[in-house]
Order: sequence, then structure tokens, then C-alpha cells
Amino acid sequence: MVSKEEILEGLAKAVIDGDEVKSEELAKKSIELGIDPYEALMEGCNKGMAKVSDLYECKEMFVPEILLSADAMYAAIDVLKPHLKIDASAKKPAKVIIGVAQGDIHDIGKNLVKMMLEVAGFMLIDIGKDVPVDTFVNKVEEEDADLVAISSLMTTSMMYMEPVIKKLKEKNHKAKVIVGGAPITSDFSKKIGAAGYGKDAVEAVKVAKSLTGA
Amino acid sequence: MEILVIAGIDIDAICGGIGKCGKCKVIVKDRHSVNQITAQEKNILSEDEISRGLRLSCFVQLNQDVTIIIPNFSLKKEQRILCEGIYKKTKFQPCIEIKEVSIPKPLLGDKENLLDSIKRELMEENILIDYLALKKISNEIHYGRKYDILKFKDEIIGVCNKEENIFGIALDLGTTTVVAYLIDMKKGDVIDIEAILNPQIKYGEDVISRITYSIKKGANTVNESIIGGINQSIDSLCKRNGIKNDSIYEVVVVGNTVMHHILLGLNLKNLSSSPFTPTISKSIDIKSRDLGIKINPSGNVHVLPIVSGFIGADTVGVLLATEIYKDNSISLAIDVGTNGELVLGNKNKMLSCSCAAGPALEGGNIKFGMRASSGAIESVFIEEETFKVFYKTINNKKPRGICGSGIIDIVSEMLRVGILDPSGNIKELKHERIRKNLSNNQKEYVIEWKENTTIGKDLVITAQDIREIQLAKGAIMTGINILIKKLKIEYIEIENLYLAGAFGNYIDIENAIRIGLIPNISMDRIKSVGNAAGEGAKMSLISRKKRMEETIISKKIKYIELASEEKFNEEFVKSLKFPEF
Repeated sequence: MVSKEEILEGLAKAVIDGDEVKSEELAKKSIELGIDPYEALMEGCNKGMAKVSDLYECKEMFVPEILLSADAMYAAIDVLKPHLKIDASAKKPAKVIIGVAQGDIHDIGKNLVKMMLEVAGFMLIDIGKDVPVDTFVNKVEEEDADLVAISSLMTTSMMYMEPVIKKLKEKNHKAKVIVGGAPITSDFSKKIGAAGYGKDAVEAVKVAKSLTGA
Repeated sequence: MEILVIAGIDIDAICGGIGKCGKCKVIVKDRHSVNQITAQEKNILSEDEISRGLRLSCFVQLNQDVTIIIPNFSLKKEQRILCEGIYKKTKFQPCIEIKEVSIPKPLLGDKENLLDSIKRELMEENILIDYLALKKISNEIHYGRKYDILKFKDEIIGVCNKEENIFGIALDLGTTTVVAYLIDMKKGDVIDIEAILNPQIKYGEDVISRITYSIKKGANTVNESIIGGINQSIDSLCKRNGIKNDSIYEVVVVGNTVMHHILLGLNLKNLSSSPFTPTISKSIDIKSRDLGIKINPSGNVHVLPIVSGFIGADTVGVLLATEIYKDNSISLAIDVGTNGELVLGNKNKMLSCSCAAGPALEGGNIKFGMRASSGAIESVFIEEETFKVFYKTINNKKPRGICGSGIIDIVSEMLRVGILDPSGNIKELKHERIRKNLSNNQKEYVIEWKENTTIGKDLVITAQDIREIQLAKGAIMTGINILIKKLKIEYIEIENLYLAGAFGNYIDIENAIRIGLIPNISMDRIKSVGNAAGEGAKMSLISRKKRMEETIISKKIKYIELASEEKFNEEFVKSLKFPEF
């Protein structure tokens, strides 16, 4: 008989190792054993993902490994989700609109940030790549989002970040804008009046959390 | 090896000839005239190499006179030949034609005017004449003498005395450097070369900052600055060689699409975002006086065609020089820079793409990265047993940083000796050179201790640096893999791999293969071709045939926008890992 601790640890490890088969199998087992699915999610998957994000931060893990970890985590979540009880009293998660700036179609970075934010408990609305300024603004209003995350790999697309910030300010919308991507620097983000900057996916989560008080 | 050094051959040997680095490979023709292959060599050389007679020159002892072949890759990097070979073979037949005419004294009653008699002498009745050339003919020609008439396309553009020399300039307009070659337009010889920093550096180092500046300040500012730079180079070439600006009749220009548009004073806005459409792609001929370039005012400025927003006239130049478009066999041309340009194909089909490699391969975004200048570590070898680092710096100065070729060597060597695993993670090994930086928890590897550097700090390569290199080489390899799949071929079918640009000259090819920057194909198929773009410009200057081929190339070549490829993300993630050997 396996103990609950072993299952949870195993789940965390499967996520860290990016072992999709193992994480799905352990998630199923946790249900069979009557482990609270919320606990399995938080103490298993999320714990693993937190470790992944630490390892990413000190550069011991990189994009390919993280994507595998994400796959492993989603495999477990798919099993656990139907069993989760919805807690009506819980605080509504902060809503984030995420997309790649106009003119740019590179979206690996955006996808990573999206995944990390989701893991951290944010509600994500992904509006894709090569997103025109007005689409960002309209979507923010439509969804009444709390946060907008704009990414760009290309320096040419960086210049489409500032107009989003300006237009939201003009409309006095509460949504705060965070930016990131290879060519973006902290100085640049300050210059264009962004509320925050994350040099990588891990930092993006920290910034998003501090801005939304999550 | 000692004998080779005495003979003045610059054989590569970072380890200093102690049989460790395996760089000094030579082929011994007659195996019996030297000592037997040693066990240590057998460790370093592959079986295939041994069977082909390869030895490490530091182990070879001669018993008698012997013929030794030194492969290109064993020579020190400075010595590697550029692609001047094809230029020399190019038939000299420039677009600027020189025709001798003698102008007989008109007799009383002759109704023919001066211009008509020149046309009759040229046997071209319908030829046009440039206005300034007309003035010159009118004011300077004496009846009864012989002159050279200069013709470009359907127009007379100049006249000069028979003994006067005329010149042309091939211009490589790089984002960082501008290189001008002065060419004798009667013989085709390269007389002099002038290289200056692109004066636009003050507006930013990369093309994008130039675009941003130009959009802010108007296309004229950046245009004036590049024209100023070009004129400055032309002036110094003229001064140094005692010639007049007026005796230069043509300038042929290559450059990336942004430089191309800046030179022509075209709007850069459309180049700045997707779908990156240029204003003009075809080659273009402009009167030098219209551009403000200080050669003969009737002279021509020819700008090579471009392929797309990311594949410029420089790539067309590389193709002219490598002649990929003529071959039956498949070739791959790689020009590595912040944007890497790739062309794959043969005479039937050519695909091109641009890879956002970023500056890491040139030393940018690397903790101790620097440009290839004095004191930069340029080649590295790590001893397997001790992890001791042997290196060479530019000008043999104490190290102050690492340039691109050095970084590639370091990563490759760390993989070879097992400090780095193929995922790019620095292994947990107990060694004084491998440690954790407590400020950010990142592992790093010490290349040189601070007392031996000029920066007062331990010179290290960090885990982050390795990731930067993975992103850069991953971007290039993704491009290669996508083109290969599009063309439905395998690596093995690549007969020629041309590495263009300074980068291709200085990197260690074996190491570039080991880190997965270029595909693992047989070394003898890989050729460093130096400034092939500049060579292409020279060819276009001296060959009408080559100039026609420019158009064929730019039409035949198809541009692939990598990021919009369905498999791009998948390929990119796969390419981030280091290959396992």
C-alpha cells in the first residue's frame, strides 16, 4: 500500500521530470485512494511546478524541460479536475489578457508565461500573436481584465507596447500592463510606462502577483 | 609540428603541442617515413581519420623527407582563405564599357556635329548621352585625337584620355562596418580596400535601432550619415592612391535590406513590422549625383536586388560569390549575425530564411562576452582529466573577455569533457572551477582566475550564458531544419556548406558542429568563404554576366517566414538541446 505522502511526492517528481505517463497514473491513483484532489493538485503538481520554476530561475532547467513538465502537469490536472469541488466562497482569480505584440509571431515565450501564470492561479485569456493595439485594448475592456501581459521577441514590435498602455490610461482602465520578451529591458518598460517587467516567466509570475495582490 | 612552424606554416595548436587538443591534424603521404601512430593519437583521431592517414603533427617524427598535406581546418584561423578564388575566375567584362574613338577634324562643308561623329564612331546611332558627359565632351575634346568613351547601358557617361585610368568601387554596406574595394576598371585588379565603422553606429548598433531613429527623425538623417560615410571612404581611397574622384565611374553596393533602404533614402516603416515588405526588390541603377556619392557625377551607382525584408542584397552577393544557383548539388550558405541568413538549394530551387539568433554568438548578452578585439579569448581547449583551460587571446594579451569563437569553443569543450550535459545544464561536479554564484544561485565555470585577467574578476561562463548560446544556435538550427524539410532532403545531401562573414572565418568548425550550430556533415564539405557579400559586389562590378545573374537569383529564391511555419515552435524547442555524440 502506498502512502498519501508517497503519491504526492511522486506527483511532484513526475512534474519535475516531465514524465507525463507517471503523473497521469499517479493522479488516477490519488483518486482511487480517496486523496483530496485539491490537495493532490496543490501538494503534488503545484509543488513540483514550483520546484521547476526554481530550477528554471537558476538556469538548471530550460525551455524543453519546462514544456515537458507542463505536459506532465496538465496530464494530472485533466484527471483531477472533474473531481475538484468548486468553492464558491473563494476569491475570484485575477484575470489576465496575454498576447504577442503587433508585428511579431513568436509565441514560445508567451506560452511559457501563460502556463506559469495559470499554475500560479491566474485566469488567462490568450489572444494569440501579432495582436493589434486596439485588439488588446478592446479585449481588456470586454473582459474587464486586471492585468495585460504583452510579449515581443522582435525589437520592431516593441514599439506597439506603449500605445496599449497609453490607450488604457486614456480610458482610465484599471488594468495594469506588464511586458516581457528577449529585447525588453526594465528600463524600456519604465520608459513606456508599463506597470511591470519580467525578464523571464518566473519573474513574470512574481510581478503579476505583486501587482494584483495575489 | 616544429618543422611546420620553422617552415612558416601557422598550424593550429591551442594546447601548445602537448597532444591534447587535436587541432593540428595533418595527412602524412607515406606512412613508413614517419614514426608509428601513438596510442594517444588513436584516442583523439577517429578510425576514419586514421585510415585516411591523418596524424597529429605534434606526435609525428620524421625519419626522412616526406610529403605532408595540411588540411585547411588545421591552419590558424587568420590564415583561412576567403572566397577570392571565384572572383579571379570571373571573366572581366564590366557593365561600364570603354570604347576607343578617334575624332577626325571636320572639314568645311561637313554637316555632321561632334556628337553624331562620336555616335558614328561607336556605331551606335541611338545611344543617349548624359548631360554632364555632353558638357565634358564639348569642352575637353580636341579634334584629331583618340579618346575613350565610357558607356553604361544605352548612354554615354564619360570621356577620357586614352592613358587615363578609370576605376570602380564595390561597396559592402554592413550594419557595423562599411568596406569599399577600389577596382581598376581596365584590368579588374583590386587596388585597395578601405574599411570604416558605419557612421550610423551612433544611432544604435543593430538595424532596428536605425529603423526606430529613422522613423523618428526622418529617412534623410540616416541617409545623409551613410552617404557621408561612403564619401569619406571614397575620399581616403582616392587620396591614398593618388586618383581623382572623377575617375571612378561606378559603385556597386550590397547590404542588408535596411541598409539598402537607408542608402536609397526609402521609408523604413514597412520594414519594421510584419509582413516586412520592402519598397523595391529589383536591382536599381542611379546617377551618382542623384545620391550625392562623390564619384564622377555621370557615374552609376548599382544596388543589387533584395529578396525580402530580411534577405537583402548582401545575401544575393553571397550567392553570386558561392554560385549555389549554378550547382546541381545542394549547398547551404549560412551568414551568421544578429540575424542569421540561410540559403539552401541548388540550380533548380533555392529557399531562404532569416533566423533571429540574437547577439550571443558575437559575444552579446554573455556575462564576459566582448567583440573580437585585443584581449578577447578566441579559442579554448579544456583538458579532460583536470578541467584545466587552455586558451588563446587576440594579440596574446591577458584576457579581459570572451569573443564569439571563444564562447563556442568553451561550450563545445564543456560538452566534450562532460561538464555540461546535452540539455545544457552544468553538472554537479566537485571541482574548484565549477561553483555556484550565491547571488543568483546559478552555476558557473571558471575559465581564468582573476589574477591572470585584466578585469580583476574571475572570468567565468555562467549557466545563463549557456542558455543564451542555446537560444542562438537553436534559432539557426531551426532555420536549417525547416529549410531541409521544405526541400525534402537530408543533411547528408548537403554537398557544400558555406560559412560567410567574419564569423565563418574565425569559428572552430568542429566545435560549431558539436554544439549543434551547424549540421554534422563531413568537414571537407564545410568552407569558410569570408566576406562573400563583398566578393559578390566585386563580381557584379566587373562582370555583365554576373550582373544578369543577380536578377535570376533574386527571382529564383523563395523566402520562408520561419515563425509562421506550423512546425516552428516544435522545431525550435527541439533545436535548443545540444546534440549527443
